[in-house]
Amino acid sequence: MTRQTFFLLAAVLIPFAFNVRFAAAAETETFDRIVLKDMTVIKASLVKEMGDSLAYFELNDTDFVKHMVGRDQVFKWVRAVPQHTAFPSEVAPPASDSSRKELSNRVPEKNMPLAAVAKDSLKDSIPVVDYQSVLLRNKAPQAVGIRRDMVSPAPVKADTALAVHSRDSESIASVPQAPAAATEYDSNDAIPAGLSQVRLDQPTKEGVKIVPRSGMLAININPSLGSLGLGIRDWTSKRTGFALKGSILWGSESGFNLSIESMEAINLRGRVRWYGFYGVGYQWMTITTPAMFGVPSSSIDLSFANFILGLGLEWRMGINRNHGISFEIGYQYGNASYTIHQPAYSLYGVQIPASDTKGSYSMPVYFGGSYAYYF
Amino acid sequence: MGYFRIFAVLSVAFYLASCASTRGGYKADSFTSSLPVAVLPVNNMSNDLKSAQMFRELFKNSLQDLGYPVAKNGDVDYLLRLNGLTDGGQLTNIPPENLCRMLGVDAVFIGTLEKANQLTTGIYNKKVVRASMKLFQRSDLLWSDTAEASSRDFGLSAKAIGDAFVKRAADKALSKFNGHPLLMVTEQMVLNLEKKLPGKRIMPTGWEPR
Repeated sequence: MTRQTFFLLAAVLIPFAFNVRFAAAAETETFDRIVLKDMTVIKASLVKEMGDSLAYFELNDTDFVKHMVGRDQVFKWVRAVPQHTAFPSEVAPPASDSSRKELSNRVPEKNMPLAAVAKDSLKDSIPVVDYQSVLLRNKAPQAVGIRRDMVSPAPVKADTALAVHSRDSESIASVPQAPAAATEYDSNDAIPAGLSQVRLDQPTKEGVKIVPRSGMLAININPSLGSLGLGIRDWTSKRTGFALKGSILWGSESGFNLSIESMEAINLRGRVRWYGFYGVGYQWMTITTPAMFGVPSSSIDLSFANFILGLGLEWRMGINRNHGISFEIGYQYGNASYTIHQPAYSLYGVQIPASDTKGSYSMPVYFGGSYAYYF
Repeated sequence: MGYFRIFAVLSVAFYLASCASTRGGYKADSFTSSLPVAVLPVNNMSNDLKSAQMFRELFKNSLQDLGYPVAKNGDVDYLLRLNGLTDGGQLTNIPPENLCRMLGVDAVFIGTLEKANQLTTGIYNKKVVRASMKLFQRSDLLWSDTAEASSRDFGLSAKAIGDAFVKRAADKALSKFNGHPLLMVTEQMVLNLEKKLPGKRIMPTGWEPR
């Protein structure tokens, strides 16, 4: 082996060896790390998701002071990795979801130190169970000196009490303990001891539990007095939205119009939403005068900007509220002047020049509707 | 001709947007109004372990929206477990009247989550959820139906939408499903299933903030 080859191999193998060591160390990390956005690292245990926050205890905090941190402040949450390598072959095969819950909810033996296993908050009465500790202790009985208790995922007939214990366990001991399945579903409804019949949750009284999931972005058809258009409508926030429209003129004119509108909701509740809107557009059109009295037909091309200010209402329908109709009325400002050059006409052999015809085009009233399908 | 093209484009867009399909079901003539029920753990035929629980939870909530008094899922699980039942797949072999007796209710929903699939290719994502439900009053079949929902999206962040949805929902109990890729599709499927049940839903405005 030449010296160059040796250094090359060393350069390759040394980082690899270190990586392996680091990886091995990371695999056995038994506490959670919460990294905040300001790069503060918190070593935590018993981390639990509570709505938009994480509740946790600091590692080695023997007083078990409960801390909360908002999810929006958290950069990364690295969960603890249990030391599973000791018994890799004895882990029960994956079964159903409920069986897995059953596995995690098994009660540790009586002689276990319970304070570190599970506790609940006296304030909010939400049980907090450190499942990983329970699993670790079940999987590594030698380490804590308890009898090995490998749990089969098969159905279990009894033994439904759960290891939910309090730090202040003596004062809480008489309170009926909730099975983990119950805390999974109804975190505030502990199951009373000796339950023999289900309790009923009453029908929804205020609001709904499942809100239709239709979006606020729609494609829509826009018929109006002077045009028929196709557009996109998007309520970007609770109160504001915008619309893009492309329209083909109909009636005596031909041409098309492009416009953009901004919408501002007036009411935020109710099936019908009232909104004010203003917009700006640009119109290209052709006006054609008919031929009469020997005067030939003529066409004038016009283009002009227009502004619109109006009031609309939209009614969304369907169980998912994913389509709706709207009506809009408004004042439209914008006009174009034009001049029609008439050719000279002949009268008794005399050529008489015709005067030019001047005119202007405007459509001050906007009245339109829309059918929108929201995605 | 121009208008025809517009309507053709719209028709195609509507077809692509539609994400629900249904099959024929059964409803007994006597089943015309809501009644106290329990939703049993569903028989999960899919590969997604959490979807079954999510579907069951959403379905229970939707029943409450329809005016049904519904047994607490935790209570149902507890009583079933006392009888050695821990999985929805076990329930298909037990007469419904026995299940009603175990739980102390007159009617039970027994369901199967037939499909909970997602195909993610980075940009193109497809999700399909299908479930069937049966309502038994003691031994009588009152209602049976199947619903399916699917979605296709291109590069959309389902998690971001799900986050927004869950924040919007008043019921924080569902927050544990936040981020589940099939949350919205499952919710849509439950809404499709709900449409076929008797009951009066408290209709939301549809303008709830995202």
